[in-house]
Amino acid sequence: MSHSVIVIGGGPAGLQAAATLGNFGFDVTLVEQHDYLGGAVAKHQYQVLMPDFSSGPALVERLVGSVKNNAHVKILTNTTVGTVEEVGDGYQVQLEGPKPQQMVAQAVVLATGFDHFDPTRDGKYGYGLFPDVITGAELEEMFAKGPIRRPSNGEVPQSVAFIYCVGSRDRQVGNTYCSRVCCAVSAKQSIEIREQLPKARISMFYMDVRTYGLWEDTLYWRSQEESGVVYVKGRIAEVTQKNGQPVLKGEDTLVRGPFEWPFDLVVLAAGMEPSQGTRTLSQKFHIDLEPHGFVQQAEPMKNASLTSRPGVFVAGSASGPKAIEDAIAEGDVASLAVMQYLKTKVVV
Amino acid sequence: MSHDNDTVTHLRLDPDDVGQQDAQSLLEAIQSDLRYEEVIHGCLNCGVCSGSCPSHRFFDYSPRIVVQTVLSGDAEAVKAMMDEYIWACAQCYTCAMRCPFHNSPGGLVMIMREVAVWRGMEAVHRLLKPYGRVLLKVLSIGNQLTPDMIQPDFFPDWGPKIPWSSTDLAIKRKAIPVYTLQVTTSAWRVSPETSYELYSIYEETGVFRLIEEIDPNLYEVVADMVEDLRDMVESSR
Repeated sequence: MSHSVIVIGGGPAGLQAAATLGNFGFDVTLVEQHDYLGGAVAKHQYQVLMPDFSSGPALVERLVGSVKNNAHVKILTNTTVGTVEEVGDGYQVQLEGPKPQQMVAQAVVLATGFDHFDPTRDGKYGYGLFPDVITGAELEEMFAKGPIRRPSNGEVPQSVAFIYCVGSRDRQVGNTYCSRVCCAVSAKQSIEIREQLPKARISMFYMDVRTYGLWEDTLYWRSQEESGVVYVKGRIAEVTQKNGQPVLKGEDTLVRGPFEWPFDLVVLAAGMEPSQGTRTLSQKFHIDLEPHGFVQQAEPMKNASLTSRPGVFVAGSASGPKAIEDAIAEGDVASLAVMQYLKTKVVV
Repeated sequence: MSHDNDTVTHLRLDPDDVGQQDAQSLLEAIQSDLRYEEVIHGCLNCGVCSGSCPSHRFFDYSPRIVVQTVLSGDAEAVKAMMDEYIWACAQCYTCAMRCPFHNSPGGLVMIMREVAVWRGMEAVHRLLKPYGRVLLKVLSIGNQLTPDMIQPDFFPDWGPKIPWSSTDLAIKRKAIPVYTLQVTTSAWRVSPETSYELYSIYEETGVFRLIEEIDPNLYEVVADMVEDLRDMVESSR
């Protein structure tokens, strides 16, 4: 008997899970709310990925190809999950979209990803108010479209500032966790900017720089040593605007004390939050969330994809901020857990 | 720092401690304050507080350094800070609005200042001298600032236009369509009964005793004022 598995979310984790489960021979339905696959990589047209500077479009092409060319994977885009009911050997799921349908799945993989923190929620950065204050995701979109220019006047920026920990590690906005990848992504972006702007002043304003593991020298040190990027320890207290330029106010806590510093372009390293989909689907499937609102990994020492309910698995940033490479790895981890789970059921 | 009630031997608002200025006991008084756990959580030296701080911009004062010094447990350094450093804080609490740990450096400074006052530290006499008028108003009627205090002599940094607001006070206050605000020697009408109750509170909480200890001259003035008002209120009952 063939088992049916629903994978919810068509980002890197979901695509990898769907492809691997399809290769195992399960009947996989991949559900994606948008009209495209590839998750945040596709949404923001990431061209160059952290940490290895590999191609974003190539990644999306490969992952999407692996499900599209897979006879066992049915892809439903523009589709969301309606009601969910527990039935005999699995979950009866109402799918709403161009082809509404009801199906029973013996296992479900939640790969519902993350949402970027919306910096309009933290007014001190002037995001939405000053055109030259943009998010890291918007910088990626800028890289995809062409050379870096100031949104306010289309000119080449002579100075670029990155503000770390926007929406992360901050009780004021309700997110006390670290979003894990933004430091390294910002370092990657600073290296890319340097390639375009050999003479620009590039400054990073941080509370800590958390370029985990192998990212330390390959990104953090490299941005300093090869790209001449300057790191200033001091979280930005507020952004104002003077003479059409964003002005960063803060304290250089190690060296130079208080500053008010104009920049042509300011990039906010906005963190990761549980996505709306993660919030909604965790309720529909009655799975526990951990205290920050991500999906609780029930037994991370056993398998990263186990949730509080048998038959419901999680992969990727639905269970916490993580890098694309880790999300893809978890797609396989979840596939393995699904296989073990369904195999046990067959024996019974 | 543990705040188990059984282990808190120090009562911050104890007039018996006036004059007790041993550094360690000052630090303990700060740390055992009921508000302490609300104003300090953690601190990673990010500098958002000092970056936000108007005093930091212009003076040798940093809310971050205040927080870090208290967290360091260096009692002598904390005591030294209470002598002058912390009095540069304008109590605007922008630091508290922005600190990613939800600390309130301004709130910590307030605790430190209160301890400095209750212990009668020398700095208090020196630094609060300009506030003698305010203190008398607070003690007599519970108001901090009253219309008749807004006089050019006390505000040397006034611009050319503002002194106008100190003229014809009575008429200007009459123009406010709220009966209780049509006064000039208090911020709003304060009945003798209110002051009477205020004095009972000051007495019960040890405020009068504290003033007697740290400023006998002021206390004499206050004592006369209290006696007169009490006689007046009691005789009219």
